[in-house]
This record gives sequence, structure tokens and C-alpha cells, in this order.
Amino acid sequence: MKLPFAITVALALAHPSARSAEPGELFAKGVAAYGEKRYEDAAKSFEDVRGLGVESAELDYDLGSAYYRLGDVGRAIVAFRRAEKFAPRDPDLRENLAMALDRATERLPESGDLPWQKAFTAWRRSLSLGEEKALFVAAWTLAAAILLASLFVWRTPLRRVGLLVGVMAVVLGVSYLTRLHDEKTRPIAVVLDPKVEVRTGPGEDYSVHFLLHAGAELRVEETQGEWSKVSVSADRKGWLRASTIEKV
Amino acid sequence: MTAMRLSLVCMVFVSLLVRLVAIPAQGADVNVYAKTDRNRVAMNQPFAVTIYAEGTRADMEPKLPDLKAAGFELLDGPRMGQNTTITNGAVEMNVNATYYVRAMKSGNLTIPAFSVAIGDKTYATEPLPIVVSDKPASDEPDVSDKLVPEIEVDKTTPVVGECVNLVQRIRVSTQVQFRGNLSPEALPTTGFVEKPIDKDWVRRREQRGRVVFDVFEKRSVLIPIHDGDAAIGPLVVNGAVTDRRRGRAADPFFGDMNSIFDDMMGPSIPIKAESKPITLSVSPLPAEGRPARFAGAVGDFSMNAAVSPTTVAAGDPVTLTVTISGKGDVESLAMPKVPSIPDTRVYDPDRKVQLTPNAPTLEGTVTFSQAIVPASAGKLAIPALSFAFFDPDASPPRYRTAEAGPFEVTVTPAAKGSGGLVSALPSGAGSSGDIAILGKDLLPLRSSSPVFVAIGRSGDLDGATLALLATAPALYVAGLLVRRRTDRLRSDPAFARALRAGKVARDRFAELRKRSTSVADLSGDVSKTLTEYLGDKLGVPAPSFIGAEAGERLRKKGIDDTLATEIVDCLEACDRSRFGGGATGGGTSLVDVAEKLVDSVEKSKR
Repeated sequence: MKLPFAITVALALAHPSARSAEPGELFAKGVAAYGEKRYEDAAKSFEDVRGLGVESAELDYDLGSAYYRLGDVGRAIVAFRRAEKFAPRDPDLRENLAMALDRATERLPESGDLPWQKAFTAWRRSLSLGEEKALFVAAWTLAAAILLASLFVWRTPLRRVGLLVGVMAVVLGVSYLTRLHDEKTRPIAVVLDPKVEVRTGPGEDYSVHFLLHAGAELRVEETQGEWSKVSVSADRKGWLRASTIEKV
Repeated sequence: MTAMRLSLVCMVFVSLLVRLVAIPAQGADVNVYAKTDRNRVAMNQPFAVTIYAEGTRADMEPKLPDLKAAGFELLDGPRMGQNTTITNGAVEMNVNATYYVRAMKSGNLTIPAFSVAIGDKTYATEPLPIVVSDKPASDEPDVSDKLVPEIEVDKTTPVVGECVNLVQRIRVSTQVQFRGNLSPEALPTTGFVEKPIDKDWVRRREQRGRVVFDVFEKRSVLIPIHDGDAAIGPLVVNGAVTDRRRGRAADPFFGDMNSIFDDMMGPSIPIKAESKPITLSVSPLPAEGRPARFAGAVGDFSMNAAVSPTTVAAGDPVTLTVTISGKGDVESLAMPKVPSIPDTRVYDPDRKVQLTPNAPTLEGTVTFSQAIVPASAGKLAIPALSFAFFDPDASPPRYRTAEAGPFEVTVTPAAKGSGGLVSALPSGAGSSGDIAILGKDLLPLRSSSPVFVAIGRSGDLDGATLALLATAPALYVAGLLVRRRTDRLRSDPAFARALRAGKVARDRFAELRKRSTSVADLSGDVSKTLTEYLGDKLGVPAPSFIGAEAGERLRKKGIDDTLATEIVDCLEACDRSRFGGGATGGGTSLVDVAEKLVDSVEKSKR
């Protein structure tokens, strides 16, 4: 048990930023650099904070803004999308993300064609994964508590309410678990390079299937060595170099 | 009952949740093997080879053997998949990778072993024998004229960047009953950028001779990205039909009935139809006559430009709007470069693309809006813009240039207090590399101290959450048991008496010990207490345990032989003391004996 801890400490100390500053100080340094229009320094400071293994909505929002100012639309979208995971209803963030996405040539298509699918997707996007989990756990616990109470008082009405909340909890649970599964197994990534050739197989020997540009969002289906299999839509799948994209 | 069912569902859900999460990423016993979807194929007939890794859900990295040397060609794959089955609460999981291959020669061939890396271990599958015939497989139904995929292009010798209209078409005879949906595979369009015109397949009916076809079409535009030969297709369609060979032999009386029965119940076999591929010969754009400002646009375009307003104060923006319309890949057009204008700052243009709906090919309009800020008063002269493109449909095909402008804007001196915009701009103004957009810019930075969390942990399913999820239904089930016990105590007096009998008997024995009375009376009370206890505990009338048959009754109620004999002996001792007389001390020992017997019965009936 001591060895991994020692390694962790050693690695943390070896990190150049960790030696000199705390996340809060680095963050403030980045904000100051941004205020002075030193966007590269600002982005570096914010990246250094992430290098310490921490993140937050504010950090990723600011990092996205710095990259946007530098004209790096791919990294800006990655950072804004990361911030969106924490603060999906933040109007400023939505505005900035929309501006960054406007500069991207390709867009990840909306999932679902039916109105209820669109409504469900919109509802889901308004919640972070953590909020969805909290809702699921709360509904689950509430359902159990109400059903427990229904054993002793107001049996019939409480049982009905408990069952209703229970059904809601199961729906929320399925929604949360599928989203968690998707984020773990098919994460969204963003193209960083100005132009990326998507090939029919994992290697330069395969022919180019289609092109993507900086800021294009896609899903990573699998990774084999230096190559990742990605999908932009149901009929737009292919392989590209993993280094040309960054997972959200 | 409903509540019981719900609790059961909850328990099962939580159990599954816990099990799924608890499945090790890589189990101790991983079984890796390969299977083909058929043992006998015809040359060039596609078939699937699937590699399974059972007992793990870790990522599998199969290494392709030299299929070409073994006489096979890889068509597609790997397609990765996962399966989870839950049988009697046991979770079984496997990951799999499917390759689609075809045999390039006939004979008894062997698919070489695959090497599969899972985690830090490497496994190998067994080689798979397969018989390849040089004739079409006899078990393949002939649907060649019933399911006909086609691809069609409007030109076969385009230049790089030229739009080629592609139609994918599938004719399906209405005489054949296909099982389930037909699924066309994504069309290989190597060397092209493909832009869809139709989002979905469009269906129409067509009659050819006496045969009616459902025709499904999907249009798109292909744009070659390099010169040379470029292949499109084949368009491959997968489906399934009923396997009539496995039905009964043709019956002169009930043939039609058999056919209907087979349609409904018969097994299905997969079928695959593919179109001929098309090879286009893509020419490079001619070097002769290429304008210096040519940026790769290919098509037939026109350009308009306007400046608004035509009179501004120094430091205020002028918007240059450039509209390029026409046939071609308008989505990839760049704004014609605005020549350098001294004493101004030029910003990156905004870009809006509007494709013409329902057009037969890729056509539309792209509008660029660019802000130009003059720094000082006077005449602002914006030089003419030129947009060069190659028109492949012109006769002969040639480079053309569209022009707009020049424009002139009157710049008045800046009003006091409003000229700060330009004067505050950093040196190097005039470059168009900055991101700042007038009127629409990033919203302010967040400077308040954030609350940091470890990367990637937000929203994870952790142990505490799992414990909470499991605790809630467990509490409900506990409450349910309590409720059922309370209800039974209320509704079943015998159960209530049996439950309380031990305590009542012990309380009474304690009272008897305190009471100073004759041995005879005490023995009578002990006997009465013991028989009443047995009556309550075993659910029979107390007098049943008086007399010669007491021992037999006790045994029938599940009291073991030794204890039954001891109880009978105790009751007889009580009777002897009661009716035969005895010392005062003997009564107290009877109480002790009786109380021990009560304890023993309580233990045996717990």
C-alpha cells in the first residue's frame, strides 16, 4: 500500500506546476493573464490546473475562452463541453459554446428524430450526469421511504404515490446508467487538427473515406494503438489518428 | 401484493446493478475462440468470422492473421460487440469481434488462428477449416432478379473538387416476402467527400413487364479529393428470406398451405446482394489558365458584394457582405481575400450557408459578413474582390473569375469619446487573424474561486451510491416483514399466544417462587402453568397434556422424545406431590425443572 502512495506523491511533486502553486493560485494567474490579453499564458495556466488532476465548470469555461481567443476552435469546444458537464444550464457557457460550434465545419447530428426523443434529449442535456445521478438516487430512496411508510399509515394512497415515484426512479435509473455507459464506452471527442483524413481502417495504408475539420464533434467507438475508430453519424464511420482528437 | 411485487422488482434491479458493476473487467477464466457463420461457402461469397472472449468485458484487441496468404480477403471489420446474459442470477459476459471475409479460391481452406490481446495477456484461437466451392452455394436462395442494388453516377471523368451526383438504388420485387427489414451497408466511397442530398431512402413503385418492384433511392453528392482512379461501391444489401428447403416437400394438395405456413413459421436464412462497383477516373485541375487567386472552388458560381453603411464615423464598423451562389460545394467556399486596406482593421468574416432545398444536386448560397473598421476620417476605398473558380460544365471547361466592387465609404471624424475603439486596438491592426467579432463576442471570464473536483469523477457510480441504492429497498423489505408480523399478531390469537407463552410462563414461575404455600398447591400451580404454556405454544387445549396420552401428543407436535419424556415426568411429579403430599422444598425444585423445560421448548420451537 505504501508504494503506490509514494509513487503518487513523487509524481505530484515531479509535476512542474505542483511544485510551485496550488490550483487556486494557478487559476488566478490564468485569469490575470487573460485580462492582459496574454491568451497563451492564460491557457497554459488553466491547463496546468487540469494537470494537477482537478477540474471545475469555471476552469473549463475560462480555458475554452482562452483557446477561442487563440483561434484553437477544437480545444475551445473540448473545454466548453467539459464545462457543460458541470453547468449544463449556464447561459453564458451555452452562448460561448454556440459561438465556438459556429466556427466548426461539421456538427454531430442530433440524436433521435421523433418529438419525444428530441424532448428527452433536450431534458437530458439540461442536466449534468451528477444531477441525473442525484435525481435517480433521490427518487429511488423516496420511493422506498414512501412505500415503507405506506406499510404503517395511509396505506392505499401512499402505496400509489410510492409506486409512481418508484416507476420514475426506474426510468431515471435506466436513463442515468445508459448515459454513464455511453460516456465510458463511446465518449464524445473533438477534432483538434485543422484537417483530418478519416480512413477506412486503422493505418495509413487504408484509403481516405472522408475529411473532418477542427471543431468537428464525433463519438469514439474504439481505439487500437495510435488509431481510433470514430463515428460522426450512422453512415459516417472511419479511423483517424487518436492524437488528432481529444476526448471530452 | 403489488407492494410485494415492487419490492421484488426493486431487489432484482439493485441486484443486477450490483452484479453488473461487480463484474471484473477481466475475469480469471477467459475463454477465447473463433467461429464462422457457415462451414461451406462459395468463392467470393461473404461470410462472417467472429472471435469471442467469454468471461470478460475488457477491451479485446484481435490481431489479424495473414488472410491473403490463406486465400481469403477481408471485406469489413472488426465490428466489436458485447453480450451479457443473466441466467438464474449468474451473469455471463463476452466481448466479440466480427470480420467479414470472402474466399478467393476454392478447396478445403483453413482460416488461420487469430491472436487476441486482452489486458496484458495474449490468447490464440484455433484455426477454422472451411470448404469453399467454385459454384454458388446450393443453400443460397437465388434472389438475383428480386433484390437488385444499383449505383449510378452522372459523370465518370470528373475533376478534383467537382460534384458527382450519385444515386443509390435498391429494387425489391414485391413477389418475394423478405423477413424483417433489408439493411443496406454504408457505401464505400473511398477518395471522396460525400454530402447527402436525401436524408433517408425515398420509396416509389415501378413496374417492369409483369413484375412490380418497390424502388428505394437515396441521392448524394461525391466530391473527389485527389486525382486518379477512385472506386465507388459496391452497394451491399443484407436481408433474410424464408428457407423453403427445410419445409415439407412440394405437396400437390397443400402446396400453397405449406408455403403460407413456411412464411409464418419457417426458418430464415440470410441473403446478400451487391451492385457492381463504379470506378471514376478523376483528373487533376488543369494548370493552364489557373488564376493566381484560385483557392480550389469547382462549380458554376456567381458573386455579389455590398458595403453598408456607406457613411460612418471613424472607429465604427462597415460591413462588407459577399454572397456567392451557384452549383457546387458551397459549404467549403472561402471568402475572397480582401486586399490590404491601409489604416483599417479587418476582422474575420461570419459565414452562413443556405443550401437550396430539394435541389437535384449540391447548390446554394454562402454569405460572408466582414467587419472593416476605418481608423481615420476620409474616403475608405475597398478594392474590387475577385473570386476564381473552375467551371467543369463550361464549354470548354475552364477557369472563370467573378468580380464585385470596388466600394467607397465616406468616413467622418469620430465623435468625442467614441474613437477609443480603434485607438485602443493593439499595434498590427489590419491583420485578420484575431478572433474578436464586433457586436458578438465571448462572454466574460469566470474569475471567482472555483470548487475543484478530481477529473472524471463527477457523476460516477461509486460505492456509497450503490450502498444507498441497496439500503433503500432492504429497509422496505424489513418494514414489510415487521408489518406482516404485526398483522399476524393482531389477526391470529393462537400465534400471539404462542409468541407470548414463554414470557407468561416465566413470569408465573417467578411469582410461584415468591409465594409461600403448601407443596401440593405449588405443584398444582406448576402443573397448570406448564400445561397452559404447552397449550399456548403448541396451539392445542391445555387439558390435552393431562393423562397417559400427553407424551404422544407432544411428539405429534414436534417435541423430541427426550424432552417429551421429561415434560411428562415433570407433570407426573407434580401430580404425585399434589395428591401424595410432600415437603415444602420439593415444590420449588419442581418450579426450576418446569422452567428449564419451558426454556428447552422455546429453544426447540424457535
